[in-house]
Amino acid sequence: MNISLMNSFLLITVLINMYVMGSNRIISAIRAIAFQGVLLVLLAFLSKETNNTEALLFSIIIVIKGFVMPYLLIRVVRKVSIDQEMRPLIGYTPTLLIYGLCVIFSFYIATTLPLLSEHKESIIVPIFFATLLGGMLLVIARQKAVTHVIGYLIMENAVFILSSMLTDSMTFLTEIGVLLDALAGVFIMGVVLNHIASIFDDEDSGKLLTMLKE
Amino acid sequence: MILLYFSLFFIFISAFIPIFFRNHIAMSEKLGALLHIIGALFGLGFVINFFQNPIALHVTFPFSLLGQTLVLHCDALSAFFLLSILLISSASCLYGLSYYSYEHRGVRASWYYRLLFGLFTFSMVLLVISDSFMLFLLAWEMMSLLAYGLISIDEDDKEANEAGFIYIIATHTGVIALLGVFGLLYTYFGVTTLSASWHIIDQNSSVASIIFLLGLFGFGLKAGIFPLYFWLPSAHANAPVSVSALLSGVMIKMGIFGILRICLLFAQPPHWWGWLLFIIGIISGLLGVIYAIAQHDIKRLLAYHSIENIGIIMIGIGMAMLGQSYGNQSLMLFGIAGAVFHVLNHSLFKPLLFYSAGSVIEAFHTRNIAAFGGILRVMPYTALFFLIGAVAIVGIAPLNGFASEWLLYLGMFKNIFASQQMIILLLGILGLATIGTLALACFIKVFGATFLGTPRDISLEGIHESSRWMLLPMGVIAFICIVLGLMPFLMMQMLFSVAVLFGVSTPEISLLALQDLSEAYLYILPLAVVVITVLWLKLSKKSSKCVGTWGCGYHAPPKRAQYTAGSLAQMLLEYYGWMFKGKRHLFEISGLFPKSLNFHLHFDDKNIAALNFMGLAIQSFANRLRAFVHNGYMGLYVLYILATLIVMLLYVSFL
Repeated sequence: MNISLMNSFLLITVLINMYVMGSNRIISAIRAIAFQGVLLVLLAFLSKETNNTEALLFSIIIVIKGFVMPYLLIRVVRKVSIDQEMRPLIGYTPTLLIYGLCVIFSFYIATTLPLLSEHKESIIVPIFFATLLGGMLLVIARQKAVTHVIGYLIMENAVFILSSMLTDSMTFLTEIGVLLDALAGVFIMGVVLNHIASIFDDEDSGKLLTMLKE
Repeated sequence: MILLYFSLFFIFISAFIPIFFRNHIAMSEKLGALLHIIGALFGLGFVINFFQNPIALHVTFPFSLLGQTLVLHCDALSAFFLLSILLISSASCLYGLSYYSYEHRGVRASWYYRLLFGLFTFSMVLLVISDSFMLFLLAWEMMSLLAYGLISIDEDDKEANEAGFIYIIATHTGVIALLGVFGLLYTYFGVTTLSASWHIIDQNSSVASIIFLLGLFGFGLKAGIFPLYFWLPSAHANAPVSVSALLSGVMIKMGIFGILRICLLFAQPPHWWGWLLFIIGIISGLLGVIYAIAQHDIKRLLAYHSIENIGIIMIGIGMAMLGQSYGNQSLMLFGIAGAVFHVLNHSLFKPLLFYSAGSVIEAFHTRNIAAFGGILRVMPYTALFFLIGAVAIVGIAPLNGFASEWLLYLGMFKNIFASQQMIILLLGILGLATIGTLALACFIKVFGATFLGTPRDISLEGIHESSRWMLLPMGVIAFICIVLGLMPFLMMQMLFSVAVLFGVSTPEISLLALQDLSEAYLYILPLAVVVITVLWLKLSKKSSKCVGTWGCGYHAPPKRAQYTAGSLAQMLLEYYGWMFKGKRHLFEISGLFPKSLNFHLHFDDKNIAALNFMGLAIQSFANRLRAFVHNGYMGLYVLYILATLIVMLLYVSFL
């Protein structure tokens, strides 16, 4: 796969981030993130030579990222009957504007970093920064606990970009480790949300502290 | 130096005796005290031996401590301070035999107290002879922490715990400043010992002022100069008396010791340092004594007098520094000699006052002066010793307080026309005189209200003179006070060798003034005795009736109809009302049949109140800041991470 094609696929990642920030439906955001994850794994798979073991690992990652985690999250959302609104703390348009600035910043930062010459042309590093900042921005700008989990998943995708595409060695094992962390995070979040929803009516994590105090 | 090692060894051992012989506590208390005193005697022997030929002793040990070679250094200044440490610690030890015995406080408290006490003395002795920065800081820290343990030794006493808490915060703030001092010395000048850093700092370099001011802050907190004395009154008031005596008599002098050591770093200090010390001295002295008048807790009052005396000592140091910077040898000599002599004198008469006040407190279980009265009749010796201490602290002629203040007065009067510092010396003379007068008024109030008159709120029945163990140290110290007062020239050699250390070189100016003082006493005192005897005989023939002291001339007034401590203080406090943040409930009698009236006096220290206010303001600001930064909303924390990330990325990109 040549570099310009890969770059255009990577740009789709950023577009998905923007879609998530702009949408106000939680379930569609979760699906978008699942699609982003699958896209990134396939991209990494196609961009390098792989042996059988690595192919197996790839498929495990695709299953977890693309099916298990979105299934768990969507189940939680339906089960606790969270209303489908994102409930933004910072409005949709301002979020997108700030994210635009973040993307510009990422591209600027990437030019100043001392990269290897073979990575100069690809936009892996700026996309990594853009995705990471996007995940953080989502955590900051949205109020619900589920959207925070979505933010973490975006950050996880960012880490995946850096670890699997920039390096050639056995990074999939590391990636699996990170993925397990994220999965555990999703599990815990589901359990916590379930419990909070059964005790309180509202699972708004912004007010979690005050809720717990009362 | 061998004698000093013995001394350190015995004092160290004495701390542990009561722990190891807990089962024979009565015997081990006495054995510990005995060992402590033996140690102190060895140390005193060393000091006397040292001043025969005051050449600095320098010992380098072949091993290191905390990364620095262990070095001990004993010069005239160290030896001089050793004198007061050893004297007062052994006196307190004797006093504690009866005051803090297992019979009163329990076995555990007894050995715990003695452990802390012995180590406290040990750390102070170590402090004055330590030379490596690390050893100095270690000893300093040990002293501070043990003092904390001793202040709040009574775990049930809430007030004492609070006082200890304030003290430990204050002292650790000071330690941070001291770390700064030593760190700067090491980084800029590469020295690791105090003796190596003498006169090495160029006063024009930028660090000189920082080192001086940091040192003044760090040591000044311990010494209790204005405005850093806020921990002192409560700590002194709530500690056991034998500890208060040691704190006030010796520990705060370690602050003075430190300030003197800091002064030794500079060959030629700038003028404004001397002015600063001098003015701090005057303000501390005046504030100390004025606030002292307003106290009705006898130990708190004595604590405020410590601040006053620290002020007097600072005036002396300020004089010496002015002399050094203007090149005026006689100002320097009299300043340093007066300051150091006053250190010794204060460390004698203040414990004496604390001991006698402690005996009174032990007997009546209250510290409120307004409750006392007529104690002279049941505790004549205690009263006598208190009187001697009071006369000494006020600075009245034949006692030692006068001798040291006289040196300061002499220094100032001698140079008042001969120098450019006429205004400040004039201020110093006025300030010192005012301090003395107010102190006199204050002790008239204390002695009058406590020992004279008739009891106000206490009962004298069944009260006896305090035990011999308590009277003995008082007697010894009172005797030393009188001897030093009458024959101050005994100290001439010691004072001069300390002054030489500070760079006084001209042999023609000397402290012969102290000899003159003794000569003057030789003529004046017999005369005074004769005059007093004649007056006494004449007056006692005339009036045979005996009336109570504060009874307003009535023959048998009820015990409420007498002057109280508050009413004695009230007149003076009216003049200085602006210094207090307080409530006054005064009354005016009007009409033919006045109603029942109340008189109530309550004054608060405005300085401490101001510091309190500042502290509270900072605290509320910090609270609000914390509530803003750390408000429990998770998105905000991620925002901090994001901001940090962006800042660090930018930092990397611009690097």
